[in-house]
Amino acid sequence: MNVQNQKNRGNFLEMMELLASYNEQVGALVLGNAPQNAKYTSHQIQKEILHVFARNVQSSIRHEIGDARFCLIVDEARDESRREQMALVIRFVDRSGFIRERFLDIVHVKDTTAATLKEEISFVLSHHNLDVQNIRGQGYDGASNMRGEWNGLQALFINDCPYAYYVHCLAHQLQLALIAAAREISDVHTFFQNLIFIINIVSASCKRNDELRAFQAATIEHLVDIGEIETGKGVNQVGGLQRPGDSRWSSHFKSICSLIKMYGATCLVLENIALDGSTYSQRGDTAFSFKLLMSFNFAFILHIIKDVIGITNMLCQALQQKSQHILNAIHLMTTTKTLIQKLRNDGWKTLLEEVTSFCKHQDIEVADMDDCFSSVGRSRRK
Amino acid sequence: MQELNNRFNEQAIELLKLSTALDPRNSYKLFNVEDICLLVDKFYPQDFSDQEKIHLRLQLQHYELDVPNHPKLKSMSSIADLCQGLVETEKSTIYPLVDRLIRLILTLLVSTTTTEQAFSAMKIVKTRLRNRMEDDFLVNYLIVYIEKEIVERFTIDMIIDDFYSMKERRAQLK
Repeated sequence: MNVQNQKNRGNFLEMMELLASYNEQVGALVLGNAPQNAKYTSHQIQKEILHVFARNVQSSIRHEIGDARFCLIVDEARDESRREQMALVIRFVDRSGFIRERFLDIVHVKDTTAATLKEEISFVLSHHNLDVQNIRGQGYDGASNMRGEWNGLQALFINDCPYAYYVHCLAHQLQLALIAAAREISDVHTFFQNLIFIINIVSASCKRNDELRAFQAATIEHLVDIGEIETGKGVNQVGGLQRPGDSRWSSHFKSICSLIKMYGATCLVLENIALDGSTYSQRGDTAFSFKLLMSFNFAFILHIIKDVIGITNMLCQALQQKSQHILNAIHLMTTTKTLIQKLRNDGWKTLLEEVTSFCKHQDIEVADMDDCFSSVGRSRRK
Repeated sequence: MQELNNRFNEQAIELLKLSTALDPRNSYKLFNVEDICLLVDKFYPQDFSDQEKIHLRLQLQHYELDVPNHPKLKSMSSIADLCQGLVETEKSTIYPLVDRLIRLILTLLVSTTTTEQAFSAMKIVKTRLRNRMEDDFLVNYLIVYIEKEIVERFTIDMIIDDFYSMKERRAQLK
């Protein structure tokens, strides 16, 4: 079919026409009347123009780097068509003293062994005329092909350039350390298992999710009516429950916060399913998780973890900012440690009060603190 | 807490400890000439010749007296600010070796967030409908997308010139 006669000729051509219509001179020539029938609208030409842009960007980045020492940041991920892509970012200090992190290139790699990665990176560096000897640091996540002591990517680069110090990505490290530390305590470990269990049940189907949202909206409305919470743009949004993931930054914090916010609604949903679920497994699972949710232990650990992770979340957020530099990070580490220590020393009373009021609000039976001090004391010693 | 200490205790930590000596916080309370010289000896021997190391020591002594009393540089809170401040006040030409050392330390990275940002950009560019995108195309697209700031500085003439220099074109736009 002739493209000229179609009603809609695609976004690109329509857009061209629109732009051309703004100027008579341009409009007279574009898409047809240019000398020697040149249209320059084929996909190859578009790609060539894009290529020119990219080339210019790269050369201006190269110009910015000059002969400064730089630091390699490398990570890999899979893209939509399941090809392994490796991104290469260069961090350096430019002439006026600003830290810059520039995206240099992205390469498709066949496999993720250290040798292949090294080859590809060296190729890119030499393509951009950067000297391997000028590397003064390397940063990767903690994967073994990257950090391995003898054959990891960092070791291969240190062979070439002995001053390319390897720094483990602190944001990754913090997350891993926190989770590992928390999981050492068996109570907390079971807590997280249960948390995932509950969240899975509640967000398993769209129907349950809808129910959850409806309940939450009703609670918020009620609270607004009796004047307990304020209204404002974006303050009382109805969200869903979020799953925590071990390697996802601050996902645990978000997950816990969302549960605290929607505690009542979650309880209602679980109760409903437990009463009129269609199969015995549904009823059994939900009854179990409902019991969990109503136990004092669960509410208590929920609050402790919220406090601890809340403190470290600050550090985690700070680490994710661009151009963060290493001394600031260390300072933040120290303040975080002090805060945790403070929480451990004198946060007990406020925590207990908070939990008690929370429990009263949600109709959970408060355990007698003198009664079961040993078990609670253990989870406190984190 | 123990776990935090364990995880963050690596070979890089010593480097960090020594580099805190340059930190401008609390009006340069942590400043220590010995530490800085040790830092250079241990971690950056290739960037400074023997001659320069002696000079560095001398420069540091001047630096210790001069910079903490400078009205503008006095209240700096981080090394990154300090580095910019040094360039602004043109102190970096007076203490070139100190400046070089500060730049080396700043080059060290903290986290790999920028690469993660690149991947999130990739998710936006290479969507389900465009999953057969060529690698070349993807690379060019991403570079232009991520480094928007640089692209904004380009002029149309620059692009047209390069476009023509790639190969013979039929129509002349100039």
